[in-house]
Amino acid sequence: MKKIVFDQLKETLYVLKLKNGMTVHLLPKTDETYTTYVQCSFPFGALHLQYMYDNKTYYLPPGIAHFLEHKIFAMPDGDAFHHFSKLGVDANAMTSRTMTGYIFNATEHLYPALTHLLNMLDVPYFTEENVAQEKLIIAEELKMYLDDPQSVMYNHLLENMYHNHPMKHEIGGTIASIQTVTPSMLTQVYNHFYGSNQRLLVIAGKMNLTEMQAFFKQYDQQAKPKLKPKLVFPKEPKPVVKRYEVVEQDVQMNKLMIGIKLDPSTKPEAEKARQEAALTLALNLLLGPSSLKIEEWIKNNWMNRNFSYQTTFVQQAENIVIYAESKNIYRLKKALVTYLTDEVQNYLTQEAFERYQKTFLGQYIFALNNLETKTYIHSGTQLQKRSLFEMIDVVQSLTLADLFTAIERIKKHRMALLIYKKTKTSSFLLNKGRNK
Amino acid sequence: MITVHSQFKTIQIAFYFTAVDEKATRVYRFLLPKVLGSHTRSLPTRTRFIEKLETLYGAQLSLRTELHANLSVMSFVFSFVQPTFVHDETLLRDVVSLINDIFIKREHFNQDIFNEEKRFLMEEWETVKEQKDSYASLRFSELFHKNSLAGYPLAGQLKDIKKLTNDQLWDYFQTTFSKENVQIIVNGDLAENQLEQLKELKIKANDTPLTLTYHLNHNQTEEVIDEFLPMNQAIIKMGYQLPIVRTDPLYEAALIVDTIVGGYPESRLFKIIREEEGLSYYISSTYNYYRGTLIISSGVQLEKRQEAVTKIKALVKALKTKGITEIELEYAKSFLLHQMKSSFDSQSILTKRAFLHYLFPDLPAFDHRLERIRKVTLEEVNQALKQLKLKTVYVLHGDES
Repeated sequence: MKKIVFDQLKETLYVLKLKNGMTVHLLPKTDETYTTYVQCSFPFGALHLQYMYDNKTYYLPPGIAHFLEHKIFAMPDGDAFHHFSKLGVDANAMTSRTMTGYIFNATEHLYPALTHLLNMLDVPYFTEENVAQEKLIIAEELKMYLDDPQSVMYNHLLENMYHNHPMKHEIGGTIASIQTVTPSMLTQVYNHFYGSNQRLLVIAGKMNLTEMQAFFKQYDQQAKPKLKPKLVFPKEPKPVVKRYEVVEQDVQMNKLMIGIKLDPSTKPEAEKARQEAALTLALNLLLGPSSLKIEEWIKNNWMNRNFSYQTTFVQQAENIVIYAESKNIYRLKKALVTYLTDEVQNYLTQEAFERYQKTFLGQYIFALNNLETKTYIHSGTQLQKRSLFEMIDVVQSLTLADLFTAIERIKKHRMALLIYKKTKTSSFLLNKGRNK
Repeated sequence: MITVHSQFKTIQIAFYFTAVDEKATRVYRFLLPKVLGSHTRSLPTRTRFIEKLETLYGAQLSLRTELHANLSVMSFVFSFVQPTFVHDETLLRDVVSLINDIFIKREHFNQDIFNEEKRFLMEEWETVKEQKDSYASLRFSELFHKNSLAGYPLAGQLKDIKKLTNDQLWDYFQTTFSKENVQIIVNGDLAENQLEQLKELKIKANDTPLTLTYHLNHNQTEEVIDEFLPMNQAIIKMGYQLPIVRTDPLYEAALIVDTIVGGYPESRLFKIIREEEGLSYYISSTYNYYRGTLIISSGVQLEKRQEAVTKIKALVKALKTKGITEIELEYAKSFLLHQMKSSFDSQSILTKRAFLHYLFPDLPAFDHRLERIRKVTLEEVNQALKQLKLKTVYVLHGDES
């Protein structure tokens, strides 16, 4: 077992590499703790719709990773939740663009729950009947998102940004795409992506290291390493699909989304991490709550509390998405585009940069304070072949010049602008109340 | 000041202002934390205020207004990193100074900030129908808690917001803060010298007596309300009376009832309505131990909404008449005990719990609460179940026909 100590943050990471190929990371908490958080992650997410395995190319429908995540809980003797509940542990799962994670947290029965989790992941059980039933449940999940204007708008914007890249599809797919999922398709994907050598198991919180080592020694078996699929991404043109679109929608207030497509970074991995951190920091200064421009727009009544921005850095699709609601949507749109493309240089100052480096350090400590967040972020950064604990060094090594370089990636001709404009006849209510 | 010693990497200093909940003051108590927590005399704009928090290593100020029985509580929770992690000896002093500026060294509220906060709130009202579940909750609450303060929005109605002036809010602040019950909770790994620095806080705890009253839901009518809004799903809210409050001997049994009805993936609603019938993606129940209610919420297939309502009714009826099984009781207890123990790893929950122990002095100690959960019998759960009475069924749906 390899031990890595991070002195400044008083954190220690233990790494176990099992004979079956699985990687185990242990992040014990030494002070009084009640809960252990466990996440088993696979580098298979919503973007992975084409891959090569054993010299053959496979194509998958949008939403397959999310569907598999749902169906992994099916076991020959019933739903895996049943046994997790019996053990009194809280289990869940999540699918992102790049990974799938199976999660539980326990205050008792940690080892039986771990055994159950690994057993659930080792024994797939896909039948015509349980797959058909899951389609109904996932369809309701997708309809729930369809009833949220912001989710609808986000997916619409991604379609306006990407020609071919699977980034244009929703994580859960569509009601039509999930209808094509079959038990054999799930089995194929499971066999190709869920091998032990693709698993990262992160355990954080309360634990006894000796017991933990004994558990994995007993669990581990020599296994022939499985082939790893080679992910394939279609060629994506640099320009966006549609630069500007205004759609009349049944919304109560006008909405604006700006999608900025970034040219894919060709830098080596270490440099890429710096580049991403610099862009994130720059955006926090330019669009965050201490931004003078944001204050000005709020004062002008151009903006309300529903303003957000996010960055996405995934395989061959990096972007920034900005969202705002406004009663002055066209003025805000013009001001935002001008600000991001012509004015930002004037708003990035050394003083603000140094202040925000302190903020980042604080936010980082906040994240480590929460076991669930720590487990999740550690899993995500590891799958990107990065380290949560080294992120602090990356940010502290940045200079203001790095931020200026980062924002040069924002180009007006790579922007997709989408406006949802309130229709003249907004939705009405038909009250059909009846007393029993 | 109540001190909670814990070993987190952050420190919390929390202020709870408590008064009897009244319809007329709801809008004041909703807006006041937002205005107070966005500027001070020396940091007169929102940007300057946020810059200050950023300088304090991204210190966070969480502002909330919530109800506990008949009491309205405004909370201000400051969270900041333990200074030893960032080697900054002035951090705690700076946080204390900022807190003093927020509560004590004030001048009249900045008119621009008041206007902005008011506009934000009004615009939230204007767009409430876009958030289908929030809208359904609001409408359901009006109907289920008919003729009761519980049915009135926590932030007041739009007309209340429109009427409110900066001068009125300022007057309320001045009178309220001098009379109101104030509790201060400090939570973290604080050394003696750090506790000493907290004596510089100008705001002091105030033990103005509070009288706690439970107002149970006494809705006498049984209603089924359908409303149309263009949407792809139907949202169902079903309101049951479960007249058991926090101090009732059957309180722990009621917690088990909530868990078994719709509190976790092993619940009846989750297993039957979602997994067996495939009618919904999310479905859950929520027990309110102040109002004595159990509310079932779900997003269901539009065309099968009536079937879903019928099946949920039948499911609850079967629970009332046939009761639960030993295994269900055992699993629900395990789940609840885990949730309670796990909450000790959350600093924010520990802070809040310290306040609730002040508010409810008869609240049993943690070990005692665990013991009470362990001791709940099948008979007690079935007794609690029998008290469930359906009063309101609200369905928001997208079927225009």
